[in-house]
Amino acid sequence: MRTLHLTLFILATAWANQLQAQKTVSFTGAARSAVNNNTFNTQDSIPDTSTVMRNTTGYALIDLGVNIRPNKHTEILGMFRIRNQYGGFWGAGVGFDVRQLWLKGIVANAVRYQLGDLNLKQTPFTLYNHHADRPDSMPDVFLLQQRIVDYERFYSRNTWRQQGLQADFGLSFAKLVKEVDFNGYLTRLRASNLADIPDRLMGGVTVDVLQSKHLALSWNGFSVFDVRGTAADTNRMDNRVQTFGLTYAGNIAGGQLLIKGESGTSKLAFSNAAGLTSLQDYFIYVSGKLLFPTKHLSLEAGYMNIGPDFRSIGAQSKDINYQNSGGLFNRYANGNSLRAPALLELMGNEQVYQTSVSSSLMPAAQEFNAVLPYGTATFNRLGGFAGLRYAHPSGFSVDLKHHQLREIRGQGTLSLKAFQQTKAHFLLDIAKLSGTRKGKKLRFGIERQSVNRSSNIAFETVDFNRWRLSAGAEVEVFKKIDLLFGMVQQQSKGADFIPDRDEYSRVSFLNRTSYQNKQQLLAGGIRCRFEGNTYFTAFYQQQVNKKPSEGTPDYQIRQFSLIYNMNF
Amino acid sequence: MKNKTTRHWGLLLGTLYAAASLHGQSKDSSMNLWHPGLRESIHPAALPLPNLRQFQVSGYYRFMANYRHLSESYPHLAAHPNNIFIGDDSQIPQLLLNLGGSIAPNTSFGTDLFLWTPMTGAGAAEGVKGLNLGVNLHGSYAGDFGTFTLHTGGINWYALSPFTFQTNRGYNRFTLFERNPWDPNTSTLEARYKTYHSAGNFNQDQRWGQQAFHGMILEAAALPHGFSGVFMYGKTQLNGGLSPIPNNSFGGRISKQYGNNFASLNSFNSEALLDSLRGTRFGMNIHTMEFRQQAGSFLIKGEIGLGRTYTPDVRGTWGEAVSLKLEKNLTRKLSSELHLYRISPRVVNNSSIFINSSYTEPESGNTNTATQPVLPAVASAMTPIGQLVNNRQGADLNFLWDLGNLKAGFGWSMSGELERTSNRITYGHPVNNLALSRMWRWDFPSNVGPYGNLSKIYRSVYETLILTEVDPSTGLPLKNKYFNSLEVHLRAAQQLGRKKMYTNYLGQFSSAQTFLSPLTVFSEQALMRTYYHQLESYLVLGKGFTLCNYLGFERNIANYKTATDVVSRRPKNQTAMAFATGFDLKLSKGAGLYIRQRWMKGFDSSFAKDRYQGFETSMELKIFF
Repeated sequence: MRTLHLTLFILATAWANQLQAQKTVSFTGAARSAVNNNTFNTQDSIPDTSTVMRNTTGYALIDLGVNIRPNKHTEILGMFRIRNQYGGFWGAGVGFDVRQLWLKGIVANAVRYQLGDLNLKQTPFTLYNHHADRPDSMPDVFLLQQRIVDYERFYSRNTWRQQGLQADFGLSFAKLVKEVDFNGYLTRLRASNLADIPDRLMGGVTVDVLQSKHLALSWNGFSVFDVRGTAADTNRMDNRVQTFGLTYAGNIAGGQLLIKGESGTSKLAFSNAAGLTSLQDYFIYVSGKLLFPTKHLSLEAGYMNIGPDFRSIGAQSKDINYQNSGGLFNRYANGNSLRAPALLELMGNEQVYQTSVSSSLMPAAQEFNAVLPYGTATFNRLGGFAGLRYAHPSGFSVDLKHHQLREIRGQGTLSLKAFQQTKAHFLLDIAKLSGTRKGKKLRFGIERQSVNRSSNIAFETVDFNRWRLSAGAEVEVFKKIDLLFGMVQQQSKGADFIPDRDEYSRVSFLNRTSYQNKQQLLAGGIRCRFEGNTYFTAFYQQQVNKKPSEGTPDYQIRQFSLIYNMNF
Repeated sequence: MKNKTTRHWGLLLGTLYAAASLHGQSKDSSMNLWHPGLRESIHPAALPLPNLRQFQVSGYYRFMANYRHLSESYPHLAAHPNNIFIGDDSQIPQLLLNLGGSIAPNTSFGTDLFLWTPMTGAGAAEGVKGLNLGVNLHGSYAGDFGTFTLHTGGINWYALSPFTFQTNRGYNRFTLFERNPWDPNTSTLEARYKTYHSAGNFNQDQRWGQQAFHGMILEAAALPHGFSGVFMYGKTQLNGGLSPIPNNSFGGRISKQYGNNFASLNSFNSEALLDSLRGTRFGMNIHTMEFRQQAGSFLIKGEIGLGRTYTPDVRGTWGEAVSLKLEKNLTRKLSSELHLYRISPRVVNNSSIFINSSYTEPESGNTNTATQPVLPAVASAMTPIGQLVNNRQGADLNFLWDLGNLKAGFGWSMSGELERTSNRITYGHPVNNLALSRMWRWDFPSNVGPYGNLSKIYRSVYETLILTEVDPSTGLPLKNKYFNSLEVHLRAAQQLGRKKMYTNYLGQFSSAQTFLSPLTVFSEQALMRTYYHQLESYLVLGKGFTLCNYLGFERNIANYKTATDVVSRRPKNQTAMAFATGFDLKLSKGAGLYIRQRWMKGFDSSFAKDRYQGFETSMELKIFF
């Protein structure tokens, strides 16, 4: 396969070089070089004598895309990745891969289509990558790592990477309705093994009706299903979601009003699941936003009711796989403790992130998101939320948001859990405030999540709290040279019941789990912005994790990284 | 902008609205609708991708075939005296493509791809492909206080200073007959020999004098007050290996330029873990000051520094490394250079210009064994003038006399070891070096050959001689070793009728003994004597054809204070000779064919199994594009 990739690459490059002169071919892509020096420390009553305490990793890669426009209505992109592992001399540790391949075009100047690799999202309840566990308003020193993760995993504005076909067209009207847009896609999540695993497809259709500049309506259909007859007919899955959406934008005294709402139903069924017919439920989500542009203020309030059996594979897949340690110090304490992803992994280890949706409900991590682990599509949540944003052009902004939710159906009990989530983020753009030319930004954030359940039975009570503090600074000390600092500290305390789920996402057991976890991630470094979309950064970060879980010892990871990144 | 069309689809209109028109969705809707996601995905014309500023493909094709027949051979080749080999047992592929692109004027990337087929008849299954130098990225930033350039990724060829990170450039006393894999096709065939005659050198590729470095190199230039600097972090070839267990090097340089002179502070350091746990590490440090100062008619160049090695058990003490060169043109045609040096046995740096003769590194298990093993100490090496060795102090004196069509170089050296660290002497076989190295393909084995005393290094072999006058308790020699060498290098250009001929002679006469001597010891008092004569000529018969000839003779004679043969009871007494002929043929612009035929013979009159005799034919076809 590597030989095929290489041959294709050489042929494409040679051909593309020739065509470039005709302006029908251009090159695009990215290149990156990274070296990470990692050190691990742990304190345990038994000295750890078997864990690899230091390692150095890195790579250099080029993604070279050949962008071909054979005519003005067609475009083809083929992208190769050449990756050179750190330490590989004279051709050792080299990999060749096809990173992207797609064709897009317009038929009859009316219907657009794309075939091959697709970055897709639909609505927050059908197909949407919520990035639910990512801290909000991150300092640049973490943000630049997140952007690498986004690039590696093809995350682009809450999209999921899929392979298939997508098409859209629209109708414009002279009266009553301005525009009706049709958009559909069909992708494959899994190929048949020609034995007992059938092909699994994912498809969706959206019809947007733009009635006027004030009102838009939509209908969304989403489905993941196994194709009958592509394997021995064992246990076919079918997940269907249908939703209606509404957007209203209008003016009120001194401001603007924006109302968004979506409501729909879902059904998850298996053709041959023992004891399970299907899971069906509905959801309602409405938010209203008041914008006062002259006062630089916006206010938001909303209501959500997401049924306990609402299942949407496209919207409830998590970007982080907590069962993957990410390859960095996976085991410690003489191999007895598995290290779960921590803040360090969340910020910048693409190995724990996944590219596509998962057909089964992925486990959540209580310490990172106990309230809305699947974003707004989190099932079994009822309540409201309110928010405020003030962004003064002089360089000060504040974002406040609060969720007050509860369960709709008790888990293993009739008592219901109550959820609270409060977030406050502040940004000070000192350059703007002081009128200087060099950029200086300070960020502060504070978040609190709590889960409570009171009961006459002591064992049923739940009392879990998580605090997260974040702070960061970006200071341009010389032209295009920035000092970067960042800190995230979070503390999880209390106890909750964490469900074990079967392959149909039903709770099979509830584990009472206690938390005394403290995590801190500190980072500082320097970034030099080169010409073009290119930068070099050197930074040091330190992860401290105390009481990661019951019975696992504390640890500390120190990481020094050098990254040179270019996009073209 | 909306992309409306005038085409009406009656069927759909019937279900929706009578006066509708069909269009592809646009990115900028008039209001922020609920579902922007799908719209963002399809924009073939409206969302042009950014382009590279420039993209280039260059490279070369090099076909190398070699046939060898040995009528007398070393025992490991006795069963197969004939050998056909396609390719070059080096890191040079048949087809190399250099790919490079630039994003902005000073921001670029590059990589290479190689393809190689050994042509054994297995077809595509045996094809080899990969990267040679890997993925390299470069970027430059120009600020108010300097220019910063970053080199990262695969292999960057780089040099700091001679004692820290560089390869030996020597005095260019070598023969041209055997072509190196990296030798270019010159604009004319004659240019290679003419340039060597006139300049004492010929066009080398970028790696000449430089070391391979993998990682990141940050250069700062044009800093205030004439300062510049370099910082590097990554791996040398000796740190290479894919294991994540740390095995890295780092170093740097701060330099101050004043006029044509400069002074710099340099540092190079290497550290490797011996296992996956902390605490067991070995490495080296070297810190130096290098300078260049014109003082009247004298040019003084030098480097002074301190270095050390350390292992899990021993924290090495610091040792000194000094190299001072004094250059002066004695007359308009006669130039001279005096070189004084002293390098402590405690200073070890296998990425520098000097050879390690004192210290064998521990095996880290993380070296790039596919290409080069951990470098063992080479014992007390008899080296050409200009090749420095640690645990040694000495002086070299070199002259170059330019008489127009005859250019004569003379070299004298005298040196001695600082400590008795080895009971061995190593020496080379320059006359049939390349042919001997091809007797062990691919690997770089040590202690092979009929008596287990030959070691292969890149395109060369060296032999180890054991001394017998040693302290029985330590195994170390009873006396210090001293080394002398004389070299004569003549480069002549003659006119033979209408044809031009270039003739070069290289004579090297060296000895190793247990006493200080001002000149090479030509008597049996020397532990080891080596005499090398190499004569080559290049007759330019036309713009596209050059006839090449080579004659070499070599003698290596040891005395009775060295190991003797168990049968003859005599010490080494080796003779080697070679006659070779061939031609260079220019096929077209950028394409050349190079044929070489070598008849060779080597024998030791004391060690019966040390014999070889035969011939070797090689063909090289090289095309640059």
